[in-house]
Amino acid sequence: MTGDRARGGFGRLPAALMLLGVALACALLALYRGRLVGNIEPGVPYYRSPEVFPGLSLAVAALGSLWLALRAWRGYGEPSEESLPRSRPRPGVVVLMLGLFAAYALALPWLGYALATGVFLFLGLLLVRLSPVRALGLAALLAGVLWLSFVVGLEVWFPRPRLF
Amino acid sequence: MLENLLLGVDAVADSAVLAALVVGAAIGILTGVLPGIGPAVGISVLLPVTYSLEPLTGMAMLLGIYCGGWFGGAVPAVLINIPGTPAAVVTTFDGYPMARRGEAERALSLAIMASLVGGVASVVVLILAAPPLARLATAFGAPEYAMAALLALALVVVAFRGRMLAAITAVALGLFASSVGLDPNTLGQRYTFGFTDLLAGLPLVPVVIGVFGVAQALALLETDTVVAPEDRARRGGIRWRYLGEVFRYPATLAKSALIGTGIGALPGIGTVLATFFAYLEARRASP
Repeated sequence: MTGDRARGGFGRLPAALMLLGVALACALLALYRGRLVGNIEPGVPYYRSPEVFPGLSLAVAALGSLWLALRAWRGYGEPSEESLPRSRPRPGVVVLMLGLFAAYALALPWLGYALATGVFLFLGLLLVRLSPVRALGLAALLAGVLWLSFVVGLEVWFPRPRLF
Repeated sequence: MLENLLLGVDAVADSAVLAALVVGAAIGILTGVLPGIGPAVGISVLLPVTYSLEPLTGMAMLLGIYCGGWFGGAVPAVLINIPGTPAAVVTTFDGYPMARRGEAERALSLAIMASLVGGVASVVVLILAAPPLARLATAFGAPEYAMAALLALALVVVAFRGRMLAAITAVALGLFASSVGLDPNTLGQRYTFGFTDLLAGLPLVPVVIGVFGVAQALALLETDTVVAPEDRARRGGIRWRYLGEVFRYPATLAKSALIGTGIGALPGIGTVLATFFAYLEARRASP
């Protein structure tokens, strides 16, 4: 704790904002639990007991996250050198990678499993700064192995690609 | 009992059965190493393979997969801080820092030997005490399960002493995640947002992989390269000289084996509580 507070810097604001977002999400889910629990139509009597445990846990999570957000904002609780590998913050790369995951899920029904996986792996490997040739080779190899394993070997069903 | 035991040993000593055990263990380690697959999925997927085998050979292969899978979960936990199985979460606490200090081989050797000793000890205890343990398991009712759940939650918070608020918040988030789906008593939907896929709740393995695996993958993305130069020391393996190191701590071994066997004999409790309990006890007793 002693040295951590002084370091401050880049990590404070994103960490505080992220924790604040968690707190807000938990608070909203707790406040609107009447609508989100029970699948109840208006006027139909229902038990309120299923709301109790999620409500309690969300309240604790919201308060805890809020307090942690304040602590993060003040610079406490940042990770020590021992707990995480040495890194250079690259939020852009992280956001791009998360976007790539989302795009992969959306692309699966359009491109099919093999092509969507290949494209996802190729772009992901480019993001971690592999050369295009190596990224293409690895992506093709991994996509082929995954396709053979899941589609051919284990006969996992995937939707037919809409584009082809 | 001894006669039956000798008959069992005689049956297992068959070369085909032993070969099936070795092959099963190798496959099990592979399935355990892959986060999200694990021993249960490995057994489910490879069950049809055993239909063509003799019953004992097939069972030996499945047992090999099961036992190998639990050890395999420790490999990514030590090397890249991603638990291969939910029970290997605790392995990341000390295993990954050891790997970062260049002691990956030591951590993996300790993990495999501890798994072996724990497995053998639990089998011996079960052979000797199966009837009373079975009676204990059937006497385990709703109040006892509730207390076991409370114990598990308390242990998670205690495990993160010094970051207790963060642990309590994480536990609360976990409890909320576990409440998604159908309420078992009233069958009311909780936070399913109309998605039928969520009626059965959030499955444990994808949640564990998402929380631990994706977080670590994103942390690795922020390093200069996927495998940083200092990480080369992290390359794993098993070293004979480290295998015997676990025997320097006989009390820890005995206590962990007893905790694992005792909790494992109770239906529906799971391995995660046992690993947390054993880890905390070992840490408490550590000088």
